Amino acid sequence: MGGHSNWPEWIYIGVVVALMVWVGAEAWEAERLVEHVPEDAKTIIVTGEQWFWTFEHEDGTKEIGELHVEVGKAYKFEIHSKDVNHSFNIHDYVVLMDAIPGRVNTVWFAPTDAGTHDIQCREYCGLIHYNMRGTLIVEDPTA
Amino acid sequence: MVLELQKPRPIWQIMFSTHHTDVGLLYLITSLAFLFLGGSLALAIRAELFLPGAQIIGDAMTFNRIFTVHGTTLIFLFIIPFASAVGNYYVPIMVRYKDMAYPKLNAIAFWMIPPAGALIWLGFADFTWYATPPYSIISAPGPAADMWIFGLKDFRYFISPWCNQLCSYNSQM
Repeated sequence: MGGHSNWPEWIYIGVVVALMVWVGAEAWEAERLVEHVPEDAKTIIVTGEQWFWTFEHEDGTKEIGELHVEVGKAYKFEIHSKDVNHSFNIHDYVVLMDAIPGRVNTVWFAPTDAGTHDIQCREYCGLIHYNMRGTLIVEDPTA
Repeated sequence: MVLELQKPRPIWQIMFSTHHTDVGLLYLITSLAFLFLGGSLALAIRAELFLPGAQIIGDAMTFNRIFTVHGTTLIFLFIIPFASAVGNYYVPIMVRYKDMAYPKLNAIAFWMIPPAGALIWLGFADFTWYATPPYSIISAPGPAADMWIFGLKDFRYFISPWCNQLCSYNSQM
């Protein structure tokens, strides 16, 4: 039975291939944005331990439970753990990265508005996991 | 060959039966019992979380133990045995075979579930159904964690996989 038309099949294949290429390109671009840390990003060493967060800024300033950052600057978090697995999460800025003992995970963000946001642990880490919280305080130095 | 089951039968005949429909029904009854046990823990969790702060479950560790045993129960004592129930009952019929291969081993695999369930429920560990190390390792030299590990690993995954690979018609993991 030769000679039948199969052009709908080719259109179907073309549409599916185009969609997959588009989704792949978008995913690649999103991954590039997420993983490309800006060169002027300031490093903050984040340490999770049962059951609180410690933050160390580039100038050596240490904070416990609170993190002060400035609007419009980029920050790179280097996430450590002293005991068990934790997960560093700033829900409002979609920052989420595990804190694994013996390993440094990095993630970055750049706050856009002044305000306070919750920091929480998102990996079960024991008795007071439910209250292993912190506060992100985004300050506007010009205000 | 069709096996006519005599019924009603005394309970010990069912318990010591190696026939695939009997074992399948034992799996079914056991897994449904654990469905309701795990479900009651789910209700306790949701009732506690109905309002912020502690209401019903006073301390955090009890809450942690409840969601751990809830998850463990529903995954390992409901979903997997339920799949085994369906597989044990139907697959030999579907493939027109008289019983599972190695029926005694198959029955032993089922009878590992009650002690495994007892260990998990009597231990009431707290490290979630992932048992993520190093937290679970830190808790391990304690009866709850050890009982959880024995409940899952030794009873469920030492003997059962033997049955799986040998029986090959068994649908459990």
